[in-house]
Amino acid sequence: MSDTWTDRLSEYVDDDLTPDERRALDAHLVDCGDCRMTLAELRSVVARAAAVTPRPPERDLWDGVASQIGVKPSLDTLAARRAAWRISFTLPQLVAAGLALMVLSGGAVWVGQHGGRATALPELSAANGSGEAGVHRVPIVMPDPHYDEAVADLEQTLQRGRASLDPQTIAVIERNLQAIDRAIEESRQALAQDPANIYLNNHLAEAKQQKLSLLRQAAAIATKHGS
Amino acid sequence: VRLIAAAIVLAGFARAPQPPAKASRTDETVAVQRGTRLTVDNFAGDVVIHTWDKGTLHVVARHQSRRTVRVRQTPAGVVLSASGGMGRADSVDYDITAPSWMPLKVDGTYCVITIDGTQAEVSAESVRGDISIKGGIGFVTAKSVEGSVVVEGARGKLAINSVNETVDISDATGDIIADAINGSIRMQRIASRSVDVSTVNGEIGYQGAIAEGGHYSFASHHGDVLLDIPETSNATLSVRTYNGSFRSPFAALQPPNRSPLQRGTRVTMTMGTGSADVAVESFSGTIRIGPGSRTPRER
Repeated sequence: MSDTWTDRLSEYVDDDLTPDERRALDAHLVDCGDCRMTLAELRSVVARAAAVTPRPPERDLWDGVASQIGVKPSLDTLAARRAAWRISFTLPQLVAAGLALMVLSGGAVWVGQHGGRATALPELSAANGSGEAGVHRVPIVMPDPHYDEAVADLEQTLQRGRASLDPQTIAVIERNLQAIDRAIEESRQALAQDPANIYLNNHLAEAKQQKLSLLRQAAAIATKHGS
Repeated sequence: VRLIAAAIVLAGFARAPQPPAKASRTDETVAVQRGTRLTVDNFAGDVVIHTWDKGTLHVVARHQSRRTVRVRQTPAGVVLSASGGMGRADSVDYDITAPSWMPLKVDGTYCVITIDGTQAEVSAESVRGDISIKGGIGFVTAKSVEGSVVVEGARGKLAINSVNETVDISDATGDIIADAINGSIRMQRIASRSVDVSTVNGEIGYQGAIAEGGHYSFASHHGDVLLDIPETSNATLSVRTYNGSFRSPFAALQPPNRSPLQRGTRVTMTMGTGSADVAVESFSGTIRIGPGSRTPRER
């Protein structure tokens, strides 16, 4: 469901509405549960983004982006462009950012605690497609090397501590990991049919978080028993 | 021949059963000041904690005689642990009576944890072992990988997790986060403004009130989600499923068109004033909202 305010929620979160618009949207939110839910999702993504320490890009990516989307760069320096930019995101973009940050933050915590290899940032790409009704639709194709790397690190830790765990415990953990993997695979297959579907994107991200969480829990148990 | 005979004799000695280690019992009572925390670290065995109104901690531990149970007063509180013998392979069964105000922290591996009557913070973790907590005020945390977790009558901020077994929460008040992977989650007689429940393969059953302005989230991948909430609730329900279905006998929860209820499109419906937000999702299970929704079946 959607209404005239749905597309203004991002500006509402960014505090970019005029006072009159804000008051009107506040009044609208009292009666519109759909917008309240969408707003809650937006705030959830923003909260995740806020939890990650900002880091300047290692190189200027604008020229590449501009040539990809057919826009001629009009500002000469990165600093000038930063000063001139007013950044706002559509809902799918925020979901994509949230997914990336979720994976990055999970991996960063693990790497921070246990060490790990330096890695490049994931690349995001977009194409046309379908999605939530009434929202500008941008399908998300997001490779997730950080997630894969975090999973691989944790699996290695678990493998190293395997001997210290009871076989029954290992079997239970593996059975549960398989259950999550099935959920991830089903979500991925559904996303292949409908790449911009916000529910599926969130669902996939949550399933991945669940896998990371279980792997961390299992690795912690293995480490504790092996010590 | 002598060598062979000696080897046979030695092998016989080697295979001879070891005499069983004697069972031993530690029984100790210590005075504790209000606010002192109790920490129990037990690799294997049962930990049973009762409560009383006295300002003392009574510890009874049953263990092998070669094992020593220590009751230590530390700056962090009273710590119970065992040492000696065959190390962690020797189990210790604790029967503890603690002041009801005493915060409790129990860590175990092959450890069944039972806590009854506490009116303080609780943290209980086990790998293979059921956890049962009656009471608990403030932060109440319970985690088990292979065991079920039962929490009754807790108040405060609850974080309850079982990877492979059922989570059962009843008569609880406060903010609740409950999750599982293969396990189901049952919640009965809940009075909370904030509930966040998720499982991958299990079912979710919630029976309780929907508070004005509250926030509720129920999500399962394969499992059904069953909400037994009053028809008079004031809630905005956001229902999403991909391959599942939605049913409700409530007049306010009849979507005008059933087709959007598939493929993950959110359908929003309003009960009463709609003041509480209730998000319900199941990728491939049935979502049912109404009276008498059955509790999840045991797995």
